[in-house]
Amino acid sequence: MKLNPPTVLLHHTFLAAVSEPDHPQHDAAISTYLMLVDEFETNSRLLAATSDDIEGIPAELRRSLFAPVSTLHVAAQHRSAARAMPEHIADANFATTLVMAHRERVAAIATFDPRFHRFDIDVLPAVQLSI
Amino acid sequence: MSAITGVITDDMSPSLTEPSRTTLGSIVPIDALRYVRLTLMSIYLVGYLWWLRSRGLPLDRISVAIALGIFLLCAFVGKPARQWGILVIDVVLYTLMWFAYEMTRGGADQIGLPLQLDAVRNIDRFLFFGNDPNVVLQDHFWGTSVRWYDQVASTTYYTHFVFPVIAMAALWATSHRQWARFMKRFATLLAVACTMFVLLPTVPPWMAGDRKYPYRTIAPLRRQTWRGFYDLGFKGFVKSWQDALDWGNAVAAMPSLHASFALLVPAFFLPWIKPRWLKIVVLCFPVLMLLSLVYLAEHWVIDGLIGWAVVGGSFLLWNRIERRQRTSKANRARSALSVTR
Repeated sequence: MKLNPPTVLLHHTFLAAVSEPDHPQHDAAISTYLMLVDEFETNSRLLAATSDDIEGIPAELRRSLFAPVSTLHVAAQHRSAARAMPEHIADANFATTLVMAHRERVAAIATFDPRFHRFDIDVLPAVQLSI
Repeated sequence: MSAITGVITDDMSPSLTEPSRTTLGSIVPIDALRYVRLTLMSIYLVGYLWWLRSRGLPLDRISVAIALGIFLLCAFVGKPARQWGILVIDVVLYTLMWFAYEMTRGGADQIGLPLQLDAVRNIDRFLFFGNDPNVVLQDHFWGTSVRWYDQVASTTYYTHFVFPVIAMAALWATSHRQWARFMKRFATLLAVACTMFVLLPTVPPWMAGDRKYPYRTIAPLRRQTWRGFYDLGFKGFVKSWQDALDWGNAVAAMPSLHASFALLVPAFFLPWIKPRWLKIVVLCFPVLMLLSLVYLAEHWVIDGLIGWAVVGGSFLLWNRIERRQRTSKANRARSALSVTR
């Protein structure tokens, strides 16, 4: 029994694409984000971002554009788990995001980082990518 | 390099032609402390049940605080410091809530507002075509020996001291978001109930019929709530409850918190119960509780109905507030987006 609606984790690549009008993926990002916001309003999705990712966003945007997004706080034990991950996952932020996604049981990740497609987690928005 | 193409489908799930995908569980290290927590909570549960049967339910505030404290220690072992900080704030608020409840409920009969008796009795008589439901039920079913329905009524009555605590503890351990939602509704119910205890101190039916008191407005009723449960072997539990009666406020009867809690807990979990028949079964519990309360002469029917109404009001209020909060956040996001586009 899942007590909460499925959570979508907004990765920093997605947050940046939503907040920056000049970003090449801006249109795709806001299209997806608007759908997620609609689902948040009907309580069918929860939106979250890791503290590492959301703290890089100006406070004013966090209160307005990202008001529906709650924070998943990255603790020392999450960083420790990220450091213990296989060596080919070299990027600390990427590893931490995977740890948070697994430990917090997120249903999907909204990202423009193609590396997430390698894992068994839904990735939003679906994009053209190369591996 | 192989190209992978994805499309956005209606349900937002990416449809991909892809190589085999790695499971997160295979690369993210196991949270060993999670298993420690589960083990500790299982041991706690076994110990609690043993204590419940042999020594009685911890009812006094110090014992309840210790029991809850031990459970929370088991449930939060190895969790991040930030979560411990939030837990401390939660515990302080939780304690304040019960402290305010105890102070108000205990002092409600000291204020001296007139006791309600005839009005509640007359409402019950109006609802049941001139009959006193407490008297009718006891006349038909009460016997010198304990019957199966005495055990059912008594057990149902005592679940009041266990079910809400289990619900809170389970939510506390699994989802802070849902715990907060539950507690908002629960605290609102307590606040309204305490206000009513002050404004409408109400003589319960057992007291209204007891020849030791001056009211004598209905036929004498038996108040042996404990006997069905005692007969089942929960002797320690019954002893704790009898002791607790000494410091209770006998005229804090309107609304019935027994009836209220019996509705609040199932109503909160109802959205997660999928089979319709099971929803109906679950919703029979508050009805069984009210029936038991009336049979055991603890409450008037109207006490229970008002209790249910307060629960309904609490849910309506908080559902509306939570919906507005979500809409407000969503609208802020949409407004900000319209500026950036």
